Amino acid sequence: MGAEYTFYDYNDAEESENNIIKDWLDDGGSAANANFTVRIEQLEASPPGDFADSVWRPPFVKPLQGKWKGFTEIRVKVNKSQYLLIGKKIDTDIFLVTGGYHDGRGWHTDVTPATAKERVNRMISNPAAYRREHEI
Amino acid sequence: MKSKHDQLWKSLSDPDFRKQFIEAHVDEGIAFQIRSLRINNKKQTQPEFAKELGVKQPLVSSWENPAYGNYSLNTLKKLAKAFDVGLLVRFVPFSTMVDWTVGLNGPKIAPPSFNEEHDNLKMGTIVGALGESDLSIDASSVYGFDKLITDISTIPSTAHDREKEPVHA
Repeated sequence: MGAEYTFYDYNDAEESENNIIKDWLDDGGSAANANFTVRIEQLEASPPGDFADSVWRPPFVKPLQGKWKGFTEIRVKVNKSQYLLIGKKIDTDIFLVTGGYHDGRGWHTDVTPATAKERVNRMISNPAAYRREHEI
Repeated sequence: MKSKHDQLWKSLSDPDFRKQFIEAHVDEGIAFQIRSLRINNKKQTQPEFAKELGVKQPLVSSWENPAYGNYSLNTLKKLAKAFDVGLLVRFVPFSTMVDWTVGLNGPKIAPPSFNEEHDNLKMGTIVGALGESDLSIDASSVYGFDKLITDISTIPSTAHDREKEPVHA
């Protein structure tokens, strides 16, 4: 029985050639990375049906509103700090485009919603160049 | 790209990752399982489940929150009895945690209750008596049954077979 869902990371094919999500997780610290690893593995394996409907929502994931509408966040709290991964869920594929953190006053991410949308489009239209299966 | 197993094993060489992985494995894993068992097996809402256990609904909500992380052994035992599933609380090698994490699937997240498991085992006996060619049902359509068949098929049938099993480093 394979995974029910698949997470993909945005790959910066134009500049660094790096997996942006893996870089962000590595920079964010190993503690947050451990939490994201467990959360993502569980979400990937969540069986379809009623249970999937119940875990693809808070507190496990949260559909975003406002200028980030259409995107979903996965948030973890580690040692009183909060981190999040932002992605777009299309059927059983989740395209992770950026990470973020809370500095005590507000949320910060490296990209704007417009850039995030552009990244999703690239991941879909040119998967070989712009996306990698999620790396721990 | 390395397999998930290898990626996770590499990450565990970092002591900070290792320490947090233990916490996340318990906190995230238990919250996910409680939500799963309540929805899939009990088919109850949080208030209904809270009433059955004689607790307030917000406590059930906390148990299903991966940020909660404050489970007592008594709570876990109480929940196992309510779901009629087994409970293992053991110290294990990290390789066991890695195998569990990368091999996660529906029946592992929401294990069948005793009665479901018992019924599946009875069906397994019938299927065995019929022989594979006579199968007229899709075994995978029975929740958890495909996993059960896999598990049974990997159990060594004799002590001799057991000796031939590879030993994990």
